[in-house]
Order: sequence, then C-alpha cells, then structure tokens
Amino acid sequence: MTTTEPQLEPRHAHDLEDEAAVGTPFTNAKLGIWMFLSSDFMFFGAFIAAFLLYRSRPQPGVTLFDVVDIPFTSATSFVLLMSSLTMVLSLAAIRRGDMRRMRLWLVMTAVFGMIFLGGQIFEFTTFYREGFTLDGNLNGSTFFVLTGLHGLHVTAGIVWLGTLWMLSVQNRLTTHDEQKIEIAGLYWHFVDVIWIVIFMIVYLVPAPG
Amino acid sequence: MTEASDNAPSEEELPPDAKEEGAVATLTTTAVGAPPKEAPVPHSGHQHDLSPFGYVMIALGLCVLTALEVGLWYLEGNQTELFGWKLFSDGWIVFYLGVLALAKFIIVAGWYMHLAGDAPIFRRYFTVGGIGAFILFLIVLRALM
Repeated sequence: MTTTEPQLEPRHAHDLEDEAAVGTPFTNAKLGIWMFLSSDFMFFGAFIAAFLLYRSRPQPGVTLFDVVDIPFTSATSFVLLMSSLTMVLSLAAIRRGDMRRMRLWLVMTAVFGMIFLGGQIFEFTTFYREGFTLDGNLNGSTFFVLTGLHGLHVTAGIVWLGTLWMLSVQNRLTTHDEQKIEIAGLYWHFVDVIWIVIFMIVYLVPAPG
Repeated sequence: MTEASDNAPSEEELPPDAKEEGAVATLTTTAVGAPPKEAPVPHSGHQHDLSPFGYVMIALGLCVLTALEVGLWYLEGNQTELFGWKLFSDGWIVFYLGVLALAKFIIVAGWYMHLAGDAPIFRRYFTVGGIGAFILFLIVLRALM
C-alpha cells in the first residue's frame, strides 16, 4: 500500500493560524489598530475642542492669525494628502505580489511624511521668531500642542514605514505579510484624515470678529 | 497522524466564517495527501479594491477639494450676494469648509482605508470613535466655557 506523505506547503505551515483568521471578517491585529484609531480620534477631539475654545477668546500678544501662512501650509497639506495615495499604492502593489513597487511606494510615503514634518518644523520656527510661542498665550499653547501631537504621530508613522521597508529589503517581509502593510496604511491614512480636520479648523476657518 | 495534521486546528477551533469560506477545506485536503489545492483565501477588503488608476483619480479629487478649501480662504470678506444672501460671509464659509472637509474625510476613510468595503465592525469602531470624539468635544467645550 502506497502512502502519500501528507505535506503542507511552507505557506500553509507558516500561516495556518493567520489563514483561518483571514477567512473571518477581521483579525486581532486589524481589530486592534481600529480600536487604537478609534481612541486616538477621541484624543484629538479633546485637543481640537480646546483649540477652538481659546481661539474665540481675545488673547494677549501674537496669535495664529497674525503669523499664519496659508499658501505654505496648503502645500504641506497637499504633500501629506499625496502620501496617502502612495501608501494605498504600496498596499495595492503587495497585493499584486509586486514587492519592488511596494518598497518604492513605501519609501515615497515616508519621504512625503518627512517633507510634511520639515514644513511643520519650518513653520514652528518661523512662528517662534515672529513671537507666536507655546507659552505666549492660550492660543499658542493649544495650537502647538495640537499640531505638535499630530507631528509626533507623523514621526511614528515614518519610523513604522522605515521599519517595514528595512524588513522588506532583508526579505523578512513577504507577500504573505500584506496585512502588516495594511495596518501601517490604516494608521497613516488616519494621520492624514486627522490633518484634514486640523487644517480646516485651525488654519482655514476665518478669525473670530 | 503527521506533525502537520497535528498542528492543524480542528474544525471546532476555527471561527464559523473560516469553516464556511474554505480554510478547513484547504487543511483537510492537504493533510490526506491529495495535491495541495489552493483554496481561495477570502479577504474582507479585496473585492472592493480599486485599481491604481482609481486611487490616482481619487487623489485628484482630493486635490480639487483642497484647492476649493484654500480658494474659500481667499474669498473671506467677499461681498458677493445672491438673492440677498451674502455667499461668502464667515458663517457660510465655515459651512462650505465643513462640507468640503467632511467629503475629504469620507473619501480617505472610505476608499484609502477601505472602510466602504471592509467588515462592518471596523466601520462601527470608527463611527463610535467619531461620535466619542464629538461628545468629548462638547464636554471639553462645556467644561472650559
């Protein structure tokens, strides 16, 4: 009697658990990132509320409306918006099994993120030079804390993307790890979505009075 | 029993959806030695994926919406009237900006984050986060006023 040795392909042996989970509407990792984003949403909500409150009250000294440069911030916002495109293209590439393009779009996303951060640092420096500071008045405090926290999120995202890129270069990230890209992408798009709200409320809404 | 089949989760251990959608079928077939069949691996979001061209078109749409937002900022103080309504009064500008930002928000969350086609539970989580943020927003305003 001939017996065929049961064999599992390496992919199945490696991904038994994951594959079972992929069949479900969600995995723990994906559920976890959505829970985090949901709580982060509320975190930003509180800071945006604080900014809005103090922006409508008269403040001593220089306020944001005296120093803001809308064309410059619009340009950096545009860059961050485009980073969402490159991020989703990176996910589409890994889903097609195109690792080279995935890495390219991942690097582009990180570069766009760095350009945005560079713009934010330049903006902060300019504001400081013009007298709009963190401790000058409540308008400054709430502005720098809110946008600074967003900048920290972008920084964390860049580190995350850089780590994924390095893993991919070392062949430790394969086409089977698309969910790692998807989860990093969810975080990155969330950072973009929050900036859409901040850009509108903090920069574009007309000054009171 | 082989090591591979020992490691395989039993049918009871798998979530109901996985049973239905072929995960068990793949494992069972492989374990008895039949040619390993690649069962389709269902993914909650794939069927709603756009082509790269589709994503670029969405990005173009987002650029247009951003340009409109910035354009509105330049129209601040504009006295254009239509049927006696000041079209670009501060109140209306805030309304237009809100609509444009909401549209951008929905587009990014719906298509780039794949919420439009992903499992409803993620949509619920995000909505709960949004509602929570709004409630927190009101509480902070109320507490500080």
